[in-house]
Amino acid sequence: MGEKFTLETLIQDEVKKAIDAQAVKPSTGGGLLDGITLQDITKFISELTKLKNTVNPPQAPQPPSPQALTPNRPPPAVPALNPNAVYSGVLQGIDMIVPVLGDIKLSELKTYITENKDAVIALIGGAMK
Amino acid sequence: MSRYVVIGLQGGGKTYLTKKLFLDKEPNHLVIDPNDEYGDSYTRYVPRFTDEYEKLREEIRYVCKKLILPNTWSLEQMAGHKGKDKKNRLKLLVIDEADLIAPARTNINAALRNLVVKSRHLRLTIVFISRRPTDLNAYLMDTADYLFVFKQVGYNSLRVLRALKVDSDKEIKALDYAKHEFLFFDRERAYRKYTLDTLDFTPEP
Repeated sequence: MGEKFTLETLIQDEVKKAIDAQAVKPSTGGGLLDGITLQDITKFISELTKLKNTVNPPQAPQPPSPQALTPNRPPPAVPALNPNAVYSGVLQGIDMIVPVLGDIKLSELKTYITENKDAVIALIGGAMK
Repeated sequence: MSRYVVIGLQGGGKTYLTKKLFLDKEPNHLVIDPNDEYGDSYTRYVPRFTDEYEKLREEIRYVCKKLILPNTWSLEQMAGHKGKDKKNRLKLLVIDEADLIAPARTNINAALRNLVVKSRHLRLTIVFISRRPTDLNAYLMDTADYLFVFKQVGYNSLRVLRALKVDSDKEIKALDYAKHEFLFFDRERAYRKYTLDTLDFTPEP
């Protein structure tokens, strides 16, 4: 059984192909975005997000400014010191001071700590890390 | 892959010969059928603008581009696909009333000429059918590999055929119309009288 073609069937076939092609690539509204599909845009946004995360790694959300949200809120409490850490820190500080000042009296040590506050705090801080 | 021209008066047997010798043996065919007369057994294209040469020329150009060429598979295409042939590629094109599409004394339709020039590369056998040799574009007559010529009586037609081969005009004039006798011209334009029953010829695949 043969098939019969006419100009109309050929044109219909062409029109159908054109419509099918249009269905695969939905119109984006024309202009510069002609031919760009929704999938293309989604992929682009996804790639952009990846790039952004690479350059600026995501950080834990910052607490909102207390002043902005609650102007009368009291300042946050200073975290309580760990007694064990302070104890160890004092001992290590003494160990570091003795080689420098010698085995001196506690009153003399107090005078030294008072006069060299910044240096001593730095020593204790280093010992506590 | 050869090109054939079949010439004969109405009722002379040219359509019957074309069906028996070509179309019935090659299912992958297309007939350009301006008179819509080949019937549903054959795959055909029925042109719309058969009474307007310029529009018909454009229509045939469109048919070549959209229907004929996309269904062929050239040697180059086959080579590019590791020698794989195209399933159901078009192998035989028959153009009936070819003088409508390629009339004498005009520039031949470029799309049609392109098909003729590329026919070997496209591995496409083409058969042109016309009633009188005087109506058909000389390019198609000259480039045909083989010709089947049924009885002709017009002076001008016989003169054209005499140019094809000296003295063939007398033989053509003497052919028996009722017995559907014809002369078969080969590539060298040597000819001999046959009927479809006595012709021992198989078109090249």
